[in-house]
Amino acid sequence: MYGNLIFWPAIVLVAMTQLTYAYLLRVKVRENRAGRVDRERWTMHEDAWPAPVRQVNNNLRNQFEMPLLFYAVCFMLWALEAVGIVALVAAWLFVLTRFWHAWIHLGSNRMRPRARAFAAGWWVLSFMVLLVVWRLLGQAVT
Amino acid sequence: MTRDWIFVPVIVQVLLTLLIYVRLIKVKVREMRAGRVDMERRGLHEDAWPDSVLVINNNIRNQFELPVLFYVVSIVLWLLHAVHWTAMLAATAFVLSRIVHATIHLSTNYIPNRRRAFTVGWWILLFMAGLTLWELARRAAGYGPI
Repeated sequence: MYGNLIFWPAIVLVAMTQLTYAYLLRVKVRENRAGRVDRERWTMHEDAWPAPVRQVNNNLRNQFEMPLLFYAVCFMLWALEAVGIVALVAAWLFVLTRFWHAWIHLGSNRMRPRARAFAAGWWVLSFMVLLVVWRLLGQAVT
Repeated sequence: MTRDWIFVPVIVQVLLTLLIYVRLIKVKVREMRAGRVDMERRGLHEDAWPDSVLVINNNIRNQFELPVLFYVVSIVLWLLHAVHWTAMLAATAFVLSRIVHATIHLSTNYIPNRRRAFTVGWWILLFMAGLTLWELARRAAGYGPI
C-alpha cells in the first residue's frame, strides 16, 4: 500500500536513534577505561561523565523531542490517508535534517551549524503539521 | 462524528510544542545579544544559559512527558474505533490544561498554579487511559466494533 511508505523514514529515524545508543556505549567504555569517569557518582549524576559522554547523552535526549512529534505526525498522515509524494518528500527531508543535526552534535558540536540543522527540521516538521491540518479542514468542509 | 476528529486536539498539542521552540529561539537570541550567555560552554552545558532560557528548556522537556502518553492513548483510541464524544471532550480538555500549564510555566511560573494545571491534565489522561482499558475489555468480552 502506498500509505505505508510513510513508515520508511520513521523507521530509519528509529534506527538512527538506536545506533546513537551503540555509540554512547562505546564512548562510555572508552572514557571509563581512560579513568575519566567518577565511578562513585556515575549512576546518579550526569556530571560524573566527561564531556564526550555528555555530548552523546544530550543528543539522545534531543532524539526524544522533535522526532516524537514527527512519529505522531507520520501516523496521522497514514491514518488520514494523506500520504502523497509531498508528505513522503517532507518526511525524508526531516530525517535528513536529523542526520545532519546528529552529525554536527556528535562531531564538532559547533552551535551555529547545529542550530541551523535543527531549524531546518523544525520548518519541515511544521510543514508536515500543516498537511495534517489541511486534511482535517478538508474533512470538516466535505 | 468521524474518529479522525481525535487528531484535532492532538495536532493542537503538536503545534503548541512547535511554537514553544519559536519562543525558545527568540529568548536565546535576545540573551546572547545581551551578553548573558557563556558562549564557550553553551553547546554542552545547560547552566551556560540564563534562567529565562532554562525555564523554556524545562517546559519543552515537560512537553515530551505526559503529552507523549496522550499521543499514544489518542492513537490507540483511533485504532479501536473508540472515539466517542467522551473521548473527544477529554482530549480537548487535556490539551486546554496543557495550554494553561505552558502559559503559567512561561510567564509567572507560580508553582502552585502550575502544579494545579499539570494535575488537571494528569487526571484527564488517567481518565482517557481508563476509557481505553474499558474499550479493550468490551472487545475482549465480545462487544464493540473490532
